[in-house]
Amino acid sequence: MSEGLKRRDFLKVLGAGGAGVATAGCSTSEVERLIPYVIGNEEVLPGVPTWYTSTCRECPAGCGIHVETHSGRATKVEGNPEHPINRGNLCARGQSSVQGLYHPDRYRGPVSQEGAQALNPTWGTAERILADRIREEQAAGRGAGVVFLTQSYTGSMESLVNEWVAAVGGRRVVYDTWADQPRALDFSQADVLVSFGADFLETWGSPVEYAWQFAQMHSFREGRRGKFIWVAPHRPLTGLNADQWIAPRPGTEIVLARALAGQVDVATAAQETELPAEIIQHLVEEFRAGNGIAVGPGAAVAGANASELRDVINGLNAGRAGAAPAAPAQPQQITTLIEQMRAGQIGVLMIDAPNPVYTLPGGLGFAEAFQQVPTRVSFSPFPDDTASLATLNLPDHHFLEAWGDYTPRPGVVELIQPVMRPVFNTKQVGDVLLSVGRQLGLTVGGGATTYYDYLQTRWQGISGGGDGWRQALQRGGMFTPAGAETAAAIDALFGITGAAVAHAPAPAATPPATQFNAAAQTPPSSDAANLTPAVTSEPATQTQGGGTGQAITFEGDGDANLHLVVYPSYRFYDGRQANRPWLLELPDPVTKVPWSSWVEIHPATAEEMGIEQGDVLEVSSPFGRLETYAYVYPGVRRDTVAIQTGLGHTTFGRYTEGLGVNPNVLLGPGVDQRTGQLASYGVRVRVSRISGAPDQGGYNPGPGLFEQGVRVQHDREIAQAISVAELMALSTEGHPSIPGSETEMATLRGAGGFMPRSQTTDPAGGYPPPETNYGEYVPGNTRWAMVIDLQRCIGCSACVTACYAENNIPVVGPDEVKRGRELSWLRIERYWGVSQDNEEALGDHGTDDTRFLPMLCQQCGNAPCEPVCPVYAAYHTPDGLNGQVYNRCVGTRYCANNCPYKVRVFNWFTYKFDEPLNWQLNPDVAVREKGVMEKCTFCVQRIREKERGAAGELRAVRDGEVVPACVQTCPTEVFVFGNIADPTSRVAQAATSVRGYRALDIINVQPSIVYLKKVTLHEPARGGHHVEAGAEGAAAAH
Amino acid sequence: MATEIRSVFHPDVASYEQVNRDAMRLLTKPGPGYLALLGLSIALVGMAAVAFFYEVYYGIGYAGITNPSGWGTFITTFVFWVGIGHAGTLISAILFLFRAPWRQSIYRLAEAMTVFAVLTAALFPIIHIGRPWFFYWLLPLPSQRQIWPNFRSPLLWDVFAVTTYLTVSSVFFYIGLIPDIAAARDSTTVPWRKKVYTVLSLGWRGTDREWKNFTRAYLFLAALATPLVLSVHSVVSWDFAVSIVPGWHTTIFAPYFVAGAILSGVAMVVTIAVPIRKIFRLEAYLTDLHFDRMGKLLLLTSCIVGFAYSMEYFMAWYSAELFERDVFWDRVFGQYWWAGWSMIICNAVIPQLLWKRNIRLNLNAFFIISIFVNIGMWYERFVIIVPSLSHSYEPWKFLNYHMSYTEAAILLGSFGWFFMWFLLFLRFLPSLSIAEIKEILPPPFRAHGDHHGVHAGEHASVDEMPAGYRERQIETR
Amino acid sequence: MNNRSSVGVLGVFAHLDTATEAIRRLRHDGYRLTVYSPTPRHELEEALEPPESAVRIFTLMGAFTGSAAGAALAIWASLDWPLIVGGKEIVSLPAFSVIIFEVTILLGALSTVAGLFITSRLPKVGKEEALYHPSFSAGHFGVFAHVGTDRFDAVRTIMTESGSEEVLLDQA
Repeated sequence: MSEGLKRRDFLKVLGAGGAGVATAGCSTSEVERLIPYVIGNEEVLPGVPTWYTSTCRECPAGCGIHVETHSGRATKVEGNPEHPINRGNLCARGQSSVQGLYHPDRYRGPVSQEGAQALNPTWGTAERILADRIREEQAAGRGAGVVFLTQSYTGSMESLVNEWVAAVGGRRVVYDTWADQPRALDFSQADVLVSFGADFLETWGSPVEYAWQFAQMHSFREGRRGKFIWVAPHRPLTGLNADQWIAPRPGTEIVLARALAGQVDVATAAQETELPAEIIQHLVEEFRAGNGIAVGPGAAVAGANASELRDVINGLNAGRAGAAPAAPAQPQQITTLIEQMRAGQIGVLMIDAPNPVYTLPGGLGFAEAFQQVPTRVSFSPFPDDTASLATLNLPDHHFLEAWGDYTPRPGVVELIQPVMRPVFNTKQVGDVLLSVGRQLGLTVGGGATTYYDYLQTRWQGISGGGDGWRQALQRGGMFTPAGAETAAAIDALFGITGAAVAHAPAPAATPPATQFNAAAQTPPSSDAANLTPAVTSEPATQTQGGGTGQAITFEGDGDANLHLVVYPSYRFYDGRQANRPWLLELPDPVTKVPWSSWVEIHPATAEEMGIEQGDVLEVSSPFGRLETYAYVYPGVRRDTVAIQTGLGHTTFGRYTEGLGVNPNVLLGPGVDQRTGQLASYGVRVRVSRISGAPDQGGYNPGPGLFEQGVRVQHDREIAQAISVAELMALSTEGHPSIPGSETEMATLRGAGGFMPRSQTTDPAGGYPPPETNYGEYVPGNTRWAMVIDLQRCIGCSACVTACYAENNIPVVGPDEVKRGRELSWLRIERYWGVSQDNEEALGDHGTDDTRFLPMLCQQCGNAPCEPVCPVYAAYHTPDGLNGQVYNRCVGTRYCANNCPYKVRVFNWFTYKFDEPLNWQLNPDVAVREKGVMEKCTFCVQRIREKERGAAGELRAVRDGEVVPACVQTCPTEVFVFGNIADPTSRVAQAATSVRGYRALDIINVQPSIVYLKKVTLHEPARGGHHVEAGAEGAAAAH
Repeated sequence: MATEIRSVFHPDVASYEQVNRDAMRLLTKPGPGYLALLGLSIALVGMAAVAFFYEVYYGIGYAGITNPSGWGTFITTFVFWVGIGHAGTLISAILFLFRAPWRQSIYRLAEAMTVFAVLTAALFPIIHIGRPWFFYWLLPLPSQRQIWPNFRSPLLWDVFAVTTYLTVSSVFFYIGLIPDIAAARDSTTVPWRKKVYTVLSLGWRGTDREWKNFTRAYLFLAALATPLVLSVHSVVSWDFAVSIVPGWHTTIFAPYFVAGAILSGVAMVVTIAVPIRKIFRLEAYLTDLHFDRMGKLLLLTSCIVGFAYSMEYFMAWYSAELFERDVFWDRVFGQYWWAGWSMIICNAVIPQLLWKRNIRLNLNAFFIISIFVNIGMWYERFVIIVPSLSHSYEPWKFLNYHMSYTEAAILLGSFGWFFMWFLLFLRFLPSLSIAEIKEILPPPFRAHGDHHGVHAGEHASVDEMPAGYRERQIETR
Repeated sequence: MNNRSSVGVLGVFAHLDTATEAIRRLRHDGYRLTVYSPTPRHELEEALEPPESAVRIFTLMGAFTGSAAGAALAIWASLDWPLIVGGKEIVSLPAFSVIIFEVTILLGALSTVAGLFITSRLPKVGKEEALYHPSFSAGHFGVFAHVGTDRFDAVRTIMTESGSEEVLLDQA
């Protein structure tokens, strides 16, 4: 336990990673050149982390990261604060990259299929196999039959691969899922933001950066708050964060966009989109008033007219501050490639692309065609659907083990450096190409022997000499204001396609408060949902939308009456992260379903078809069928069903195999007429109920859909909201209590830190009595506290994964989760903003006022959990934390029973970390054994570390110096953390907001977390009321 | 012409010697039925032991308890057995202080039941914790770092209350046994029994000095045990009342729990006494009168408990307290309606039948009623613990509790454990209080040469006799 | 005569009134007696007029010691390593009152038992103080007079006259 076990695990890591120590030590060539970010020298002090700068490659966004390594082991990934893209923040996928690094199912080394059995050749042999095959093809004059199917590279890799393919005489085909989405937009200053299905908070473009921009644009600051309108047939996480949901008839999004652009008059648009004219009218007016920006199209609504829609949107943004046109997609020849594969014209197919067997539409039949290719080479480090069909696996490094550079957008050129010795016997693609090239007697890469040399030579140009290179590595790359000449030079050097237009600085337009009154009158609407008939099977009258910006037709059998939306997964992107235990256990931010797939269906439609939550449904299209569970969800049109991609892999390692379904099999071969982009939008499906929900009762839950938590707050005012109008009225009152005055601070300490000044403070006034000292028995001592702004929280759950990574929180698996035994210290609660009534939550307006609330230990000053512990395992630290001493706990669970927030979690078993996932464990945090209660302590290990450092420098800890993991990673900067006893601290200032309240304040546990109410444009739905009102509600409901 | 004078409580007992003979009859060689029961009990204990070690080895997760329902069957059963353990001390101590003579013949059984029930209950705090191998950390001992346990924790109050109660009730039990063990020693012919009884009786011979101090000591022990028995279940109830969980945080809990405890205890006494009376033919000692009075006691406590229930629901409604309301709504109409209703029906409704005297005296009916009350009292504790936890403040963590197989096994095992001890007691220690029954028998007088008979008027010291004893003289005129 | 020896005369009585009569007469003649009975009878006490039992002193002392010990344990242990929990005082007497009460009862009861054992010389080991007969635990009463062999006849006559069914002599 705590000390003992921690030390032991720490040594185990050291022992297991002899190589790791050598790495850090260190003799091997590549590692000598690693440049630690913080500590100058190469020496590694046990227990003292070394930080490396690199770039996250979990998705095309290319966020800058710092990697914490202990004794040569990467333990945690955090955002690089100086990075222009993500400002030190990171999403859940980025946080989980260490689990990709240490994934137990990675290839241990190259694998070659000789007939039936698989051999494990050395790298030399494996490369020779490939070289020989290529030579054969060349000899046979089928050089063109050597095809390299790659993701869309940039920078060094782009040029190397092109050079190599040319030298071989082969062909390169680029296939990437959503790499072509614009990553250079800036809508942080927009007043009205309209998204045409672009889930920019989850996967679209550059999610972490866009999330921050969205928070800036959407949060309430000095009387200003933007409005966000979501246009799509279905509401994913991004849509749930919208103030208004407009769901036109599927396929007619483009008509609405053109109405905005004035190309179509409102009446026609209304008739086409089946939306009420006034909605469109109001939208057009709103968009033109102030600074309106449109984004899109998202992958979910990218149909045959996707490129046209994108052009219309770019037209809308033209001249608008902060908007940049998207890069036109390079037409994909994947479809033609597949035909050639079928025709047997392809001899060698090398794949370094996102798992095409899984991600490509079932209608294309890639898998079957793939079998026709005699030599199938996969560079994937994981045995995914594609790699398991390959005849030769040359596993790539994980990006934390590899060298490289990447250019997510103009003006940003990033460096990727290895932070540790490779975990397994893998080799990065660049090196493989170079050595295969040598074996073929070609001179590629200017005679560079390793990819690292190739990279560094190229970089001499920009970084300019050894020290520049070193600085670039420390910084994480070269960041220049886009538009500058250097940027242009760099872009040229790296052959960046679609150079961006200059970003003009956004004018800080501050519209008058009246704008809100106007906004407040808009009906909160999911209008389409309640206006459209449940069945619209008649095909659209337009011709297949070609060039005329017409709506798209949905193909499907006659009686297939429901439009299908296949939307990207926030947790698994296109499925590439679906093997990460953390992400599998993390409930989906919208449906709160972990470890499973589902099909979202509107309550009315479900009722019509006699479907209930959790029923097993069959969804079939002309191209494929699947069976999964029903999720009854008012955030989808009545004539539409939505399925999330990501799960349903045939092979992808022990954690995800046989989990969920792959909706891509339902999609057809439809493509964008103009660009040849694959169109995922435009299929109608037949949905039929197969059986009821599997029995979830009893101790053994068995299979089935499990939705965590509840949809309504049951009149508990956990997540509160306040309308803009009311807020304006309040803020004109001025600030009755500014912390700082002595009397005020006395009360503050008396209250275990502070009294939030808001409507929820106790009527009794200065409770508790000043002479009592709840939680603070060293007067004037530090009191750690947190402020959480619900208006900024988008529910993305990056903080949850960061907490898992920092605090060695084990994953318990689906069955245990169904018993409510997940161990997450921090959870995001998702409430439809309604009080008691599930019917209301399932109504058409159920999703209009959704509240996301991060719930973690409130570190109560008057903590109910502490006095009930018989062995002092739970006690109060002098700086106001609810300490939890693991090795003193005997596991009576009384503290958890008495915790009103239910944030204490119990180790029901001794959970195991599959080797080598245990290499990720943070040596600063104890690994808990069975029978022990655990909980959030504001990352006390980080607090103590900073305190030690400050003590060493004979100074006090600075405000903002201590950063818990959740605070560190939050993309929208929801959290403010610090010492509330210091009136000048940011947290003390933030706590005095008029929006401030404390959850369940009525039971007087004096929590040290202040929530700031969500700000709604309309009157908030019930649930934001006071308890008295709620009680009446309860009485009525009873 | 002298009339036979018999005790109004035990008219069929003719002489002191008969008491000894009848009491010793139970200490003879057991029959097959007895052995079968004993074997069954031991088998249940074995099953529970297996389940327990399974949980220790793999983790407490094999119990159905979850987050938020951190307590379930184990604590329910703990409270249940502690409650059972109340009737014994009530009958032996409180009724002793009240000089209620009908206690004499029943109290030994009740007291044995108490000791074994508390012995059973004491296991559950150890079984239910996450790391049972560290249970001794709950004892008032300092850790290596000189940290003592937290005396502000209700669980530590439990430790003190339960251990004190176990000690005192066992001592009380043993002290009362000494003269009877001596009697067994004097009458038994089995050598090993004689040895054992000689040691256990501490050489008791019933001299005037011994009796003098014995009666005083017994009186003081009773005086100490009386507040203790009332305190124990109050302390147990504070486990809940001191917390802030809606449905637990109630001032009514202490009296409510004590009344419930007596109800369940008396019911268990009846459950045990009826078959024993039949099997061992003790009709002379466990007479209708005893069951009549226990029936009244049961009825009284049942009414108190019923009142407590109604008060709980009334306060939940009247306080307009949201969280409280939801919990109690759940108990009646929510997902725990079945538990809530079986509690109310078994404890507050069915016992009302005992208003009718002929039901009180119909042992079969009474036996069945007592079984219902036992079930109902287990459900009462379940209803208090589980719905409150699974539906407390935080809506996000509403989750129902399901009992697991290991929990069921350990629950059954607890009954096996209890009956194992009780059956052994029946065969090895006098289960009738020989000496005290004699207190309410007419002593042998030689007057008028007639053994066992005397004219009441001639009896010297009628007037000094306490009420309960004089009663028989008067009634038997 | 030697009090510690068990020399004397034992009268076995089948009836309570005969036993009491023997007791009265023997006490009148100043003999020191040990009386056996199967159950405590007030008639015997009246005849013997014994002094008040000393057990109550033990009970009182034990209870007081218990209160003090309980309070001392709870308070000192809390102060020995002061940890604040739930904002409660280090010395929270309302909480400690439970501890104090329980320890009071515990020590009170245990010292009562100790008092019983001490005052009535239990457990009995070694030489018996007076002659005993198994029927005393069943239905008979016994009166043992501690007298020297010289007075045996006198005592025996009193016993038989009072109605003793059997008179045993112990020459020791």
